[in-house]
Order: sequence, then C-alpha cells, then structure tokens
Amino acid sequence: MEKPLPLITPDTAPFWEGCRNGQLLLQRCTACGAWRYPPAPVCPGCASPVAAWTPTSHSGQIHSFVIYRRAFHPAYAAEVPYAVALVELDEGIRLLLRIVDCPLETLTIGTRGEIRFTRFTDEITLPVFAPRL
Amino acid sequence: MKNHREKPCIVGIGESELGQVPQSTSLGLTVQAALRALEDAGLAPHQVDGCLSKPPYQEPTFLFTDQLAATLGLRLRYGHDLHAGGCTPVLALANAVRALEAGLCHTVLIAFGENMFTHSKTPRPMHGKLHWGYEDWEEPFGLVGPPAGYALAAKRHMHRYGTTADQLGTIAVTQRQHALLNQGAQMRRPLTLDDYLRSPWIVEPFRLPDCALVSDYGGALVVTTAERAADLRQKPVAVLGYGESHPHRYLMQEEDLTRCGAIESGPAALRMAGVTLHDIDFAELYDSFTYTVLVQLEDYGFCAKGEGGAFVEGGRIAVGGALPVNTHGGLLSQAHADGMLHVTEAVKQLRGQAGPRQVANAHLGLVSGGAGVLAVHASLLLGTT
Repeated sequence: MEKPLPLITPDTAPFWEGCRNGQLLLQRCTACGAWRYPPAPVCPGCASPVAAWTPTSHSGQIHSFVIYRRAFHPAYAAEVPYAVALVELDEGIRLLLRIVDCPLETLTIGTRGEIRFTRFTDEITLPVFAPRL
Repeated sequence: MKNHREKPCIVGIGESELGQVPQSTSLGLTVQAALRALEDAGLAPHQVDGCLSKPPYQEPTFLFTDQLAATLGLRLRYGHDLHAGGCTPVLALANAVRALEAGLCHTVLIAFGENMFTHSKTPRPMHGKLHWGYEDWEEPFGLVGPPAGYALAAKRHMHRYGTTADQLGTIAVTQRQHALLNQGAQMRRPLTLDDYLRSPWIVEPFRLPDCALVSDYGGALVVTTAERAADLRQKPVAVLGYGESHPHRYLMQEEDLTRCGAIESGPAALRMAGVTLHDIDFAELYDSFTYTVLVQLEDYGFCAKGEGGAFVEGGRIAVGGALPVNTHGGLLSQAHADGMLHVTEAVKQLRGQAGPRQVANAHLGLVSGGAGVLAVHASLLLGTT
C-alpha cells in the first residue's frame, strides 16, 4: 500500500522543490522577519503576504517525540516501531519529522541533530531528522 | 449566583444505544437520541422550533441540520450546522441560549450522532471524510491518527513537570471505575493500575487505556426558556455560563505545548455564572486522552501548573472524592460521543438521576469540550435553579 503523499499546491510548491534539491526552504516574512511553517499565503504575525523562501540551518533539536507502536495507516505497518519528533530548528520554527538512523531507546527531548532527505517519488522528497549520536 | 431563574434550561436529554450498534447509520442514531430527548422533556416534534446538529465526520453532509429536521418533521425558525469536534455540544448550547435570549425561537433541539465504530468496519469512501487541514504536514511524515498530537504534548509535559505513567494511568483507572457504575458504558471490565501498565502501547507515551474509545453514538438535548422549563416534567437544569477559547489553530508552533484553552474559557464561564472554582461540585472534562484531563485540571486552576499528576492521585477525582471527574466514564470508558455524554451526564447528576454514581449535593457542574489538538476549548457551567 502506498504512503499518504502531500498534494502540491501553489502555496507549497517551493517547499517541495527545495526538498527535491536537498534544501529545507521555509518562508520568511519580508515585513517582520518571522519564519512560518506549514507554508501559508500570509504571515500569521503581521498579515503581510510578502515572504521569501529562505534556506535554513538544517540543524535543530527534539522538542518532543512519540513512538508509534501501532500503525494508524496500513502503509506504515511494516515500519513500526518508529519515531516522529517535533523538531525545533535553530531558527526557532518547528517541524514534525520522522527520526532516522537512531536507536529509539536513545531518543530524548533536547537531542540535537540535522535535517536529511528521503526520496519517495519523482515529485516528493521528504525532510527527516537524524539525531547526532 | 445571579439571575439564574431567568436563564435558559436543559429540559430533555437523550442518548442512543451506545458502543457497537450494528446496522446503525449516523442519521438513525441521531434520530433515536433526539426522540428520547423529546420524550424525556415530554415534548412532541411540532413543539420544537430550533435545531442545531453536527454533520458526521465520515459523511460530511451539507445542511445536515435541515435533513435531521425534515426527518423528524420539525418546522424550524432557527437552525444551522455546527461542527467543532468535541466542542460541538458546549458551543451548540451557547448558540441555543443566545438564540433563545434573542427571541429567535422558544425550544431548541441539539442532536447529533455518528456510527463511528460501525463505519470503521464498513467504510464507504464515496461519502468522503472530513479533513482537518494539516494532513499534508503530518501523514507523509508518519504522524497519522488522533493520539500522536496529544502524545507529543503529554511527552513534553512529562519531561518538564515529571508527570508519570502511573498518574496518567490513575485517570484511566478512575474513569473505568465510574463506567462500571454506568449501565450504558462500552467498557465493562475493571481496570487496575497494574493492568494499565501492562496494556499495549499505541503511540508512546500513550497506552491503549489512555485513548478514547471508538463508538457508535447519538446524543441529544432539548433547551428552552426558563418560563417554559418551569411547566415541563423534568427538574430544569440552567445554563449558567459558558466560555470559549481559540488559543491557536496548530499546537505544534505554540511556544508552550503544555497549555490548553481552559486558561481562558474557564474564567469566562465562571464570570458569566457569577461563581468560583470552589463552588463546583463535579466536572465532566473532555477526555480524548488521559492527558487531556490532566492538562485541563491544571489550566482551570484546580491545582498549580505542573501538579495535575499529583492532583489526580489519592481518589481525589473519583465519585466521593473532592472533585469527581467524568462520573460517567467519559470517552475513555463510557463511549466516544464527541462530548455530548459529558453534558447528558451533568444533567443527570444535577437532577439527582445518576444512580450508584450520584455525586452528593450536586448543584453546580462544570462541563468542557475540546477540539483539534488542544486547539479549541469550551467551558460550560450547569446548575440547579
């Protein structure tokens, strides 16, 4: 069974294009400097619609995490147990990301690591988080 | 307390068959609950002129309230769909009260239901499924289903405040004790803390008993003016106050993952009712997960922030304790009715109809609702007049 894949929309296309090129690009508001995620047509802080797709540090830490012991979608059944973390980038913005290349029992809140990329289809490459061991 | 004699009242409650109801449809369960609520109130459908309902998640339907009204033969002067997940019952009651106070109608039926369990066994994809808008940023990343968002918040709470698995488990165990005193409850087997700690992980840190049930349900309320309520067969239960809070749309970008909207909706409801937290005799708190109960107890101010774990220990939240919580068993052990059964239970408690789980001298009850991942919160104060 195929994994759920995102719909690419005019609001989100640059994000996915960045991922295909191995770069985590996020919108940064041109008016107030705030980062935002998920992608959106306007800044939630100042309502400015003008933003630049900006490269990020690819570096951050685990703000919280969960371990899936049961699959909620058949496509993930073969992968349990797996971890999903709420990762806070050094820019201060957070993303939900799969944890890769890390024994689950060593995960802790505050663990630092880096963004990597996993290719799914020609169109979709997903960012993932690799804790620094 | 002030002016309670003039406040609109709940005069009828109805619950459908709950749990696993084979062959049920969402509309059928809703109608069953609605007719039971009207029977409870001693009213006929033609005496209702307002209606609020919630379209089912699994069959999102345009003008569902009007479909329900047509099915029951209601002639409406006021009605609309309202879908705010587990906040729907409280927000619908608040809307009904405002409509009654504005003179738009005189008697409102609030009814909705969902064949959530049956549907999970026989999905009908052509009827669609309501989305919540963040799927593209969650499901491809492995975050599927309701528990994980709350589990992320719970994990952060455990990290920051030292909240333990035993404390989350105590909430599940206490609510199961209550469910065993409730004939209609889906869960009939006792649960000990040892059972809890041995139960399977779902999304760690949540085990199976941390999570709400999946249920077929229908629930209904009849609300009318104080003047009309006085002539009806049941002891009226007044809507004394309500409040809502919309702290954020998406928890993941919130500075503090471990807060919820009770911080705002609680004081708003208390102010409207002219009462304090100390006056509350029992609380039916939205319990999508054990953690949801814990964070609300803190954010209402029943205990200090971070001390919710200690608060739930020692029988404090059991019937007979200082603050009985979820006396019906809740979503965790009675049935998942998107919060509707929290309201019907509060009404039973205030009428003195709660049988073996009756809270002594119950005059003021707090009911809450929650929706999204701690994204919308609603508080309701119900009382005897």
